[in-house]
Amino acid sequence: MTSGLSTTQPILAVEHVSKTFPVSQGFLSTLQLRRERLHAVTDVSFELAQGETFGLVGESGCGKSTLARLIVQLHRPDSGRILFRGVDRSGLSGAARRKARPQIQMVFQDPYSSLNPRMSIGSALAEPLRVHHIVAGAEVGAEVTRLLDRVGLPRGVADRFPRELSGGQRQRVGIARALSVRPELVVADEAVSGLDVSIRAQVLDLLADLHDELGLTVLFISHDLSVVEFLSDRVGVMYLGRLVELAPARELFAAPGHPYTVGLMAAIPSIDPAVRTATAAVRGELPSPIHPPSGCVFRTRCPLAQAICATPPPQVQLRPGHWAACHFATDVNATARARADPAATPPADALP
Amino acid sequence: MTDIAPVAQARASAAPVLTVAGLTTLYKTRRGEVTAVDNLDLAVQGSEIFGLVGESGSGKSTAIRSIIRLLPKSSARIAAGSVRLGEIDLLALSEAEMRRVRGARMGMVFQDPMTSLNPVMTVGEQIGESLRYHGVGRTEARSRTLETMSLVGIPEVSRRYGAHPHELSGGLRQRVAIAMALVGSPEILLADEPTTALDVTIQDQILKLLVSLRDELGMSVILVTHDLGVVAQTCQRVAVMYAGSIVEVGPVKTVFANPAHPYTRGLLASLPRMGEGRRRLRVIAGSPPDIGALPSGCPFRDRCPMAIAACAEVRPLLEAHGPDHRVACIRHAELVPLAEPLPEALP
Amino acid sequence: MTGASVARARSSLWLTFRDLPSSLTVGLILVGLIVLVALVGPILLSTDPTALHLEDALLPPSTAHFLGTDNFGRDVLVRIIYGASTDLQIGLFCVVPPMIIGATLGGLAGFYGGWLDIILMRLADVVVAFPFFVLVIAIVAVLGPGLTNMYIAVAIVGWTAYARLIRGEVLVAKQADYVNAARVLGYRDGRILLRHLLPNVAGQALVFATSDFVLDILLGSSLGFLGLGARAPAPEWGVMIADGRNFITQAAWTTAFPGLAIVIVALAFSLLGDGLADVLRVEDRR
Repeated sequence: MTSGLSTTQPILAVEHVSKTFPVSQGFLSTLQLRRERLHAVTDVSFELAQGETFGLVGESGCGKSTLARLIVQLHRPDSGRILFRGVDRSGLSGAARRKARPQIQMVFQDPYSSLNPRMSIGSALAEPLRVHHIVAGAEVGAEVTRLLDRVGLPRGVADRFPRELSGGQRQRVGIARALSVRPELVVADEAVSGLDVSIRAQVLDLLADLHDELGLTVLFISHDLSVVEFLSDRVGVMYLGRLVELAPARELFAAPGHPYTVGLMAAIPSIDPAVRTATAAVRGELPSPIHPPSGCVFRTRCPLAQAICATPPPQVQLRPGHWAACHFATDVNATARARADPAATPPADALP
Repeated sequence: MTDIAPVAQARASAAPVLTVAGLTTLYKTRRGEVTAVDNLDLAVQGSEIFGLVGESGSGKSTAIRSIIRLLPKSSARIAAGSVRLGEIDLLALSEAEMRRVRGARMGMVFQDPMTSLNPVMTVGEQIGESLRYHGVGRTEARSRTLETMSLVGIPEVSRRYGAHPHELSGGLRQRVAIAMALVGSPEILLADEPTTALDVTIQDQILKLLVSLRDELGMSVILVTHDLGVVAQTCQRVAVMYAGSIVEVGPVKTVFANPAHPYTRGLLASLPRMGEGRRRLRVIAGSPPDIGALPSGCPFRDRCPMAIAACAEVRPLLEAHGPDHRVACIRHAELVPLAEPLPEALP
Repeated sequence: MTGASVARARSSLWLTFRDLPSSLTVGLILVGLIVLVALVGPILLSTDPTALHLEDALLPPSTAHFLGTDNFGRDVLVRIIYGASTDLQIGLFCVVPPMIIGATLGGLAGFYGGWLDIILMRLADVVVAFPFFVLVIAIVAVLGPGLTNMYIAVAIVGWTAYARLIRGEVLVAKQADYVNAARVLGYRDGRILLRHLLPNVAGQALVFATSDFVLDILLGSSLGFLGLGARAPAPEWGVMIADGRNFITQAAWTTAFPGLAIVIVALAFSLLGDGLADVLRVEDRR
C-alpha cells in the first residue's frame, strides 16, 4: 500500500487483516451443523505514518469498530497481521503484553459505558498512572490535575463520579484516561457521535489541539464524513468489511474514486438549503455480512454496476496515495478529479 | 381594489393546519416541577415541513409529545396553552376523543423503529390496526395497508405484509413505522428524530421519502431533529429551540443564510463542513442547559458571546427581525447580517 | 482537603442519606437493633438461659416473665434474646461462605468462559437439580447433626445461587467499555475482576444475600426443629418452637413469641434488601 506520505517505517501497519464472528451459537445453529460466520473485516491493509491523523469512515456494519478493536487487541485477527513499529504485538504474552498495551490507547464511543460507574474520576485517572508507574507515587495527584487541565475539565471533577458529569465532560475524562499512559497511537472510535452539536465541536477542537501539541498519531473512526474530514490527513472508506478507497482527505472530498464514497458524500444532508436533490444518493439496503455479494460488495447498490462487478475489483491507483477498489474507478469522477488537480485548473485570473 | 376578495380568500385558505399557543409543559422531579416547554407558539401551514431543532434538553421532543398528548401522565403535565388542529383544541379533548384524533388526523413516527413496533405482530397487522380501530372493514383495511406500504417504498409488499419487524432492516422498519402513521391519511405527521437511529445513506432515503410523501399527499409535517443538515434539506420553516423556548423561527433559507440569534449562529459555526478541512470550530462555550437551573433572564446568556447586563433582567420574547423571521434576543438588531454565510469559517 | 470540598462532601453525604428509600432506612435501623440485642442482651441479662426452674413451668406472660415461661420454667424472653445471637450466627455462617465461594467461582466462570465456565455451570446444574432442603438435610444426616455440619451442608449447596447470579452479571458487565478500557490500559485480570467488575456486580448478590439470610434462619430453625441443627437445650428459636409445640393449646406463648422473633428478623432483612435494590436501581439508571 502506498501511503505517499512517509518513507520511514510506519507506526502501524495493518496487513491483509480479516476477522469473522460465529453467528449465534444457539441450539438451532448446532442442529444445522453448519457454523455460519459474519464477515466483519475482510482483507484490510493500510499504514499509519508517525504523527498523522487517519480517518476511517463507513456506516454501521462496515467493520470499522471491529478494526479498531483488532488494533487495540480486544480481538485477534483470523488472518493477517497488525504491526506496531514493526512488531506483531499478538506474539507477546503476559507481562510483556501488559507493558506494551499503553502504546496504543482507545477513546470509546459511549461516554456512559466507558467509565466505571463506581470509581471517582480522580481514581480512574490515577489508576493507570500507578499501574504503569508513569510518575512517582507522590506525583500522581499533580499528574491527575495536569491531565484534567489538559482536557479542559475543572479540577473539582476529580472528586466526582461519572453519573454527576455531562456527556461531554465524560468524553473528556475518557480522553484524559487514554492520554494518561502517554500513548503513541490513539484510536478514537466514534468518540464524538453521542454528543450534542455544541459539545461535539468542543471535543473536536480538543482532539485537534491534542494532536498538534502532543504529536500523537490518531486513528479517528466515525460514520460522519464531515467530522472525519475535519480532523484527518488521510481517509479510508469502508463498506461491508472492506476498505474500498483510501486517499488524502482533501482529495477524497474533491475527487472521490469509488461510487460508494460518492454516494456517502451525497447522502450527508448539506446545511445549505439551496442545494437539494429529490432522489436518494444510494439506493437499497446493506447486504447481509453473513453472505456478502461476490466480487465487488457494493455492486448490489451501485449505479455503475455491470456484469464484470461480480469479479473482485482491482485496486486502482488514481494518484499517488489515492486508490479505489472499483472496476470503474477511473470513470467515477474524472471531471471532479481534473478540477481538483491544481495543474489542470486555469488560474483564477485567467477566467473571463 | 377589485382583487381584495381573492386575496382574503387566499389568506383564509392559508389558515394554519396546526396552531400551538402558549404551550407550557412541566416535568415533576424530586426537586419540584421544572418547565420543559415554556410558553411555546407555533403555526404549521398546509403541505409544510416544519423543522423543530435543538440540542438535548431543549424541549423539542416534549413539545411534540405535548401536541399529540403522549406524555407520561405520572411525570409530566401540560400547564397552559392550546393546540388547535383545524377547529378543535386537542388539549380540551377527553382521552377517548384524543384516541380518535391520533391515527386519523395526526400520525406520529418515533426515533427507534425497533421499539416503536410490536415484535409479535406482523407488519401488515400493525399498519392496518389503526384502520380497524377506526372502523374500517377487514378487506378494505388490507388493501389500504398494501397501498400505503408501496407508497412508502417497501418492496415486495405482499410478502412483507406477513413479515415480523425483526425480519426487516432498520430502514425498512422505519418505512413500516411511517406507513403506520400515514395509513389513516392524517392532516399532519409528527416525526420525532425519525432518522437519528439510521445510517446516513438510509437517512437520506427516508428524508427523500418524507419530502415526496408531502408532495404527493399534501400533508404537513413537524420534523423534530438535532441535525441542522436534515432541516436544511427537508424543511420550509424552522424553529430553533433552547431551554424550552423557541429562540428563532423563520424560513429555512433565511435562518440558515442569516441567523439572527447568537445561539443559531453558534450552532451553525459548530458544524465541520466538507471541503473546508481543518479550522477552529468557533465553539459555543459550556453545555446545554439544565432546565431545572436556568439563569435569570435569557437562558442562553451564560454561554452567549454577546451577553450584556440587560440580558439577565427579562427572558426575551420573539420579535420580528425580518419578513416572517422572528428572534428572541434583545440584541438581534445589532447583529450584522452575514453577507457570506459565516465568513470566519474560511481558513 | 479544602474547607469547600469538606463542605461539599458533607452536603453530598446528607443528600445521599436524605435520598435513601425509607425501606432501607427502616431495615437498617431494625437490623441494627436486632444485632444490638444479640450482642448486648446476654451481657446485661447474665441469666443462664438453660437453667431449669420446674416450679415456674408454663407461666403465662406477667411482670416477672414478660413473655411467660416454657415447660422447664425458663423465661421465654431471655431465651429469645440468647437465641438471637445463635440465629444471627446461623444466618451469617449460612450466607457468607456460600457467597464468597459462589461469587469467586461465578466471577471466574463469567470472566474467562470456556471450559472453566462449562464445568462449573454443569456442576451447579447438578446441585440445583435436587431440592435445596432435601439436599441440605441429606448432607447433615450423613455428616451428623450440629450447627457446624449444617454450615458445611449449606455451603456445598448454597454457592450455586450466588455463582449463577454473579456469572450472569459478569457476562453483561464485561461487555461494558470501561472493562475494555481497562484491558487496553494493560491492567491485570485480577485488577479488572476485583476493582472494576466486582463493585459493579456485587450489588445484586448483596440484595439476594439479605433474602438468603432470612431463608437460612428459617432453615436453621427448621433443622433445629427436626433435631439436626442446634441441639436442645441451646436457646435457638426453631428449637424453642419445636419444644413448645406439645403445649401449643395450653401455652401458645412458648411458640408464638419465638415465631414472632423470626418474623421480625425476616421483615428487617427483607426491608434492607428491598431498599438496597432500590438504591442500586437508581444508581444504574444514570
